[in-house]
Amino acid sequence: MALMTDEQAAYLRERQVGVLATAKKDGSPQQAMITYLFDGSHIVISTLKRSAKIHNIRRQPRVSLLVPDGKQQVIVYGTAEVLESRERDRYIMAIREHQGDPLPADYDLDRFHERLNELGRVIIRIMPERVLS
Amino acid sequence: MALTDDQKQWLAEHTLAILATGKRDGSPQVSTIYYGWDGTHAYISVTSDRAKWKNAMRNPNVALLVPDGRRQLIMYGTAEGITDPDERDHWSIWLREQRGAEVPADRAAFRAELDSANRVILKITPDRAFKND
Repeated sequence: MALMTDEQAAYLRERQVGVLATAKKDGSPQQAMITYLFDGSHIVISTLKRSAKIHNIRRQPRVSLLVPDGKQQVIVYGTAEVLESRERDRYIMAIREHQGDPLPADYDLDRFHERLNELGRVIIRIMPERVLS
Repeated sequence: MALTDDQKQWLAEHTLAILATGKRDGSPQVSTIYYGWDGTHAYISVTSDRAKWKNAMRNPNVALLVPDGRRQLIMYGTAEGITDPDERDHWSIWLREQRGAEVPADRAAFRAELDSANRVILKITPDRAFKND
């Protein structure tokens, strides 16, 4: 069985606001509304290293993302990883482009990398394992 | 911690939310639900064979996210289960009234219907809430 249907993939691709749930230390959930990008295989979310979600993910990488739209919804259960390297930079560029705010073509990528480090920006990359709608 | 009037009003004015509970392995489970707010507690009708009920009975610390476009209220609270038939029937009818749904005239038949569906009520006492808008 395919992980997700074409309809589910299209639904995720066409939207960008969802609710990310991560687990606190006691196993109870933490929820946050976030913007995400679905690139066809992973869900990526830009956030800050010091956020509760990152703290939670480092301890328990199994997360869920619910993307609501009126009475419709798609729920993705998956495993998250935190990216802080050049891979992060590429995802952040992709997110900015997706949100209509692309990095200037001549932008110094080393400077961009340093700037993201200073800001403590990280990427949460979720590999979907189970998708429900 | 008491909720602010603004937060209570938000809860009163909405009905659709995302309930997150903690699974046995400590990762989150999420689902979209309808709730009713009576001014102090949130009530949700669920069935006792569903994951959210089992999770909430094991770990009562739950999260309710009430979205409205990109605005949201996140409420963390403690869940308790209402299984007593009289109390369950009372809140089931109240939830129907809140939704403007038909209130069953034949209470005995309604009880039998709730019984056969394993209907129970989750009552959530707020611990704290955050609203971003």
